[in-house]
Amino acid sequence: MLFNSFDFAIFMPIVYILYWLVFNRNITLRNAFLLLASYIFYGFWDWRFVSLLLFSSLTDFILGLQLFKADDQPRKQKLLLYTSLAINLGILGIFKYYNFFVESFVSTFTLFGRELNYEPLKIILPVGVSFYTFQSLTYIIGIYQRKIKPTNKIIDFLAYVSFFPQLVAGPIERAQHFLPQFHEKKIFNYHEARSGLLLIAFGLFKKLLIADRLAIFIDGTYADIPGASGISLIYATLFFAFQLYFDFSAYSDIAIGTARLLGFELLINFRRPYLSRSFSEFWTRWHISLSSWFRDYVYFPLGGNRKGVSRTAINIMIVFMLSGLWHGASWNFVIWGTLNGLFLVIFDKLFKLEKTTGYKRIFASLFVVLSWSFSLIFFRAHSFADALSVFQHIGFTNSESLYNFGLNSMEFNFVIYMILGIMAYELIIEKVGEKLQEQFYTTKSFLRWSLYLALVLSIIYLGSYGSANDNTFIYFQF
Amino acid sequence: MASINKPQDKQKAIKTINHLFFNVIGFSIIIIAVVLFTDSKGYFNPDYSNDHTRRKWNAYYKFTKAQPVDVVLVGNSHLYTGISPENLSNALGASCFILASPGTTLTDAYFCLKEAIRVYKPKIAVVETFSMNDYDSYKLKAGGLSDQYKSFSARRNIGQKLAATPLLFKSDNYLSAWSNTIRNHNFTFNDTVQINKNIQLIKSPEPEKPGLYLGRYIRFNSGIEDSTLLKYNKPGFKAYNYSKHPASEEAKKYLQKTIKLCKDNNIKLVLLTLPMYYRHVHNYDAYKKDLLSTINDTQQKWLDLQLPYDTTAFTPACFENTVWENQHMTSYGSRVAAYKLANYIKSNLAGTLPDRYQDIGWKQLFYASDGYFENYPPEKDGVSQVLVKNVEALNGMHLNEISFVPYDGAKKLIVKIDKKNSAFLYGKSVKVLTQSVVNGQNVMVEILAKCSFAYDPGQHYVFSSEKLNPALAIQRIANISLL
Repeated sequence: MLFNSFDFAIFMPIVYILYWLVFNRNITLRNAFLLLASYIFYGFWDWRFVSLLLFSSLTDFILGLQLFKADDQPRKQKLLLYTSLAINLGILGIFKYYNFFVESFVSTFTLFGRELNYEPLKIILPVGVSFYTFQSLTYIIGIYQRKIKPTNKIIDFLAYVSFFPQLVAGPIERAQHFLPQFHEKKIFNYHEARSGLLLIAFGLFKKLLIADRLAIFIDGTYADIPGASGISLIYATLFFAFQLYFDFSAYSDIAIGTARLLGFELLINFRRPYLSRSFSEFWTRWHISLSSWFRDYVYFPLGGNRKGVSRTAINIMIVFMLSGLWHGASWNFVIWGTLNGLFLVIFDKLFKLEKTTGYKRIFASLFVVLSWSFSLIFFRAHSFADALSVFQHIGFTNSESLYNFGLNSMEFNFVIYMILGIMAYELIIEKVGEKLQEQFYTTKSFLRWSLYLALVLSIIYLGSYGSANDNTFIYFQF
Repeated sequence: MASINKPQDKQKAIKTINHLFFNVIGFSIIIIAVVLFTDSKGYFNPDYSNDHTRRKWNAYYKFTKAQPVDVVLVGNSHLYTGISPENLSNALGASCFILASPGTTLTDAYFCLKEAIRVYKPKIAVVETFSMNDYDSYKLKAGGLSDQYKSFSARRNIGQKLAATPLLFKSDNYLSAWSNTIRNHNFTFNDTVQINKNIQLIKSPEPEKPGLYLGRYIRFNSGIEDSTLLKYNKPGFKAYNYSKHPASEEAKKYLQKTIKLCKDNNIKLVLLTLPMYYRHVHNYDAYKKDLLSTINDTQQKWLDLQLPYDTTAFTPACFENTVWENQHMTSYGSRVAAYKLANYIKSNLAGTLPDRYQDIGWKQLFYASDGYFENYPPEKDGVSQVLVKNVEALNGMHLNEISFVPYDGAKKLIVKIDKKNSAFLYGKSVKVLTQSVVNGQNVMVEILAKCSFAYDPGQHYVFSSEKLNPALAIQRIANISLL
């Protein structure tokens, strides 16, 4: 079920009403209802994979209890931890990476003149598997690291892993932050509900007015790279950076807003990343829940920056390559990750980006965004050959109009103004601070309601939706 | 989140929930009202000027207010291009209305029939079976002007549309199906011309097209050309392979529901399979078997014009000049098929339909429409002439009538020969030598009239001329000969 679907528009109010008026009598009942709602939400995509989600969750629930019991048996603890890692990463390996690794293996043999016959398996990638697997792992690792105690409430744990607002595309929640929220009683809070609704509306605004409109142009350009003019490819490259941001941050906003409606608080996933002056800052603002996951569970265990400059650089590269691979089972994503690792290792140090101030900061931010856009060519292209084709044609000029890729001049200009508008808004928030958003709720109700009305009506009248459009969120594929 | 411990906390929570619900509901009402306003004004209406689907439904709602409808036909584009409702009406002496739209599935055909029955209960319903194969889906196409949505939006009963919505559309398209604003909101960027046109139409609405309209839509006037026929000779070529388009379970289910609907409403149902050119169609047997098994227990009447195929009647002239799989019928073919259907109804459902020829209102409405003079003699209208009536001629054949009648802004000569005591005359021509006046001059004019299956009322052969000069005035018949 997509957040921007009619199904969700029916599903959510029903869940909401039942949740607050019927099931919020006791915690277990409420969590059981949340679990049921989450499985229905997930089952809308494919019922068969609910069992996989259940299996993964049950495994970690049992292993978590066993891990805690083996308090003074380090070997057993390690064994249990590795079992959990093997099962969780095994699921990911089979469903997401099996074909990729086997194909890479076969290609390596081919390079050395040995032909191997191989038919790729037809494996469906379960939606959200990368997200809920990582979320589940934070629980096991947390118990192993003595940061949390396991829960003996199975319903609470299953509801934590499958919580539908963030099940398929995050934010990836840490057990220590999120699981306790399932043990709390909830009291309805009007202000939180209101801000949740506003976040949902703002998410839909970004998704339907900007991201999905940009998608039309980008999809059109990438569908015919050799036929596209250099300027179209440049626009497509820059636009994709904004499509990805508005698409994914829209998803996160809706997820956070939906969770807030149910009385849960999710981690912030984006904090105005395109205003970053350095790459290291960028990764503290972009897909924060994943970046911090890799930082805490891969980078720090590898030694972080405590083992000298060269080892730090190697650690960074490992993290970014793994992060690329997490996104998708293809060499394009590995290259994308590697490029971003290199940007961080080389450019941050070389240009001392973190120390830029004043007008130089603007150039630093532009440099970060442009470099990021460049790396995203590998992220967006269907194959390595497609990515190379973009580089080959990006400098060419031909007579193909900019407006032949699905957006006419009016829509093209509109989307540029929208991007500039949102970026200006982010700049103001950056300068003034988040308190501006809080102050909004104290302004005159006529003004507030007019803004709500304008927001929703602009989604209806100016949004890019309908069956002709593919409105799936980009991060659903991961 | 704090916990609820005290009863007053619970009460406070319920109060704030109510406050939120009140605000959200009020806000939603405003949003819905704005959308309904733009819907009612029609700012986002598609271009209705060529929308024959909407025209059909509007005409049906209007027609049934003043006149009875005896036969309703539902189906897809094969039906509205494949049956001439005027000829069917004239051949049956009844009012027949086609409510077909492109790409209609049997599910939609069921709901169309249901709506048609709600408005006026006909004596006979005809369902075209090409809809069985789910040839088209109900995806909303780019621009939002797909015909299925037009058909849905043209229907008026809210209850029936609500019931049909989940069965006809994917959930994400529900709102698009109901609201032109939602469906065509892209006009804001992509078709401001249409928005401006709609604004103009609010100020000065377009007048209705005059004349009798029974849902006919002529798309093809010329038949299959010889060069196209050669393509069928290509070894292994299969233009339309029925095994690739089997009937879905849903289609079968809705066919059975349609049969039940008609039974419950005491309406005689005829299933009709309109033909494609016989060399065009492959593996029809499997399809036929499938359909027969679906209707097996119901003893449902089925007129299958595909198999057995009438090669004499359904010549290449009856079909669209294409080897693309979805082949429609031509205007000529639609007349041939209309008479086949009329004769089938006459012989299999005799007594079901009233004889509206005796009804002045019906006669006024259908007079001079396509097929009227081929079935009935002209009245004293100041334009038509009956030149010969009931004479023995042409080697003992009974010549029922020779008339000179108005036709499509011109005139035509019609010769009717009784089928009794006559040879097989289809494909034959008669040459009629007339003494006529043209522009004040007395001249002898030779008129050729051909007998085809296009007009086959059953009791007599009809020889029909091409369009003739409307200035021509025939004084008398000098001679008639069979060629």
